[in-house]
Amino acid sequence: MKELSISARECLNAYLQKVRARLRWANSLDADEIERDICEHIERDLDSADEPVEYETVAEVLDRLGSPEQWVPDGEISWWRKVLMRISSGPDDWRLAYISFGLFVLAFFQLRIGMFIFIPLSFIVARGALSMTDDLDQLKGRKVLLYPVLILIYAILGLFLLAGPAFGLVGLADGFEREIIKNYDDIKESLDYWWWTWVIILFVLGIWWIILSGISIAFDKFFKFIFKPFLDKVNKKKLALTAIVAGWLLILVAIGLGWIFGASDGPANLFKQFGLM
Amino acid sequence: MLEFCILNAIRGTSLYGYDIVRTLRGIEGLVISEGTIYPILSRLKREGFVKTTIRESSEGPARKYYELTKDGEEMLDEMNSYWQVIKDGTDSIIKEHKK
Repeated sequence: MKELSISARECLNAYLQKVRARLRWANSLDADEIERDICEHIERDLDSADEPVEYETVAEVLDRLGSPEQWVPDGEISWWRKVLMRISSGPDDWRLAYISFGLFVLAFFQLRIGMFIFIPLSFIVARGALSMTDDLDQLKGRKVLLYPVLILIYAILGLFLLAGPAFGLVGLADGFEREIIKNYDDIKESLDYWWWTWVIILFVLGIWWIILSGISIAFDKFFKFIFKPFLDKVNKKKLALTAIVAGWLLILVAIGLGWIFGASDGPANLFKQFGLM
Repeated sequence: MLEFCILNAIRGTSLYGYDIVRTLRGIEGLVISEGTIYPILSRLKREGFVKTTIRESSEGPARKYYELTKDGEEMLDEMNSYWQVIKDGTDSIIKEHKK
């Protein structure tokens, strides 16, 4: 073989690696023999080139040879071998997509470790793959591999962001109820003030959503970054307006329910009994 | 189509893989990825339609030459007959349109 420049050598090695990866899985072919034939062909094509052979010359020869992916009919390779080939020799963005999906699937086989190790890792790899793509439309088939973990993490994150204060209030109310039942022997059953807890939760959520809308308008880039790529094409102002309207509705519902319970004898009296109202 | 061209290229002779590629390069209108030839040769060999012999070369290491087997000859005869039928049919359509 003629002496090649460093970039030409790298180009040739990468090509031969692709050749090996593609041919290895084709049952009807003698991969070693074909690789030797290809190497001989390249040597013959470079016979007349000056040393060290430059990248452009090697690239031209390889271009004439074509992509090894065209050499073996797809039907000859099973689907799982195609996946392995993508990981071992495919472009980086596809490799990351497969690795991310692999970790995501693995998490369901090892739930304990998976939730804390594989899912976060899968998410990080998926975000890494996204950062390598300027245009989301270029993702195409990779979306199927990358989006499951993103949707899972974003759904959890979104739920906490939207209903975080409510979770806290439910916890407080539950603790409060236990405390009352413990201290007052005559109360054994669940208390009616849970209705009031819901009134307060709806009221707080309404206020929180209005505040959140303001924050999301002010820091829309931050939110887009956190929930990339799902908020990329979302009109933030319309979304925020919807949240404000929904927030006011929740507040109104809370006030309405509060008025109904306040006007009736049942729950309100119970609170008065304990000096809470 | 490529199998057909390859088998015809080596009919009655034995050719080095690279020379087969050069022969096909010379066919005007036949656009191919040259690398495709080698897996096809490998498949034809495995199926028994071509055989290889290693011969010393004055230009470097020993070279592998491809030639048709008896089965290969028979299959090529069938392919050529079929090709002739298609060609005749196509020619007649073209002539019809020219009239």
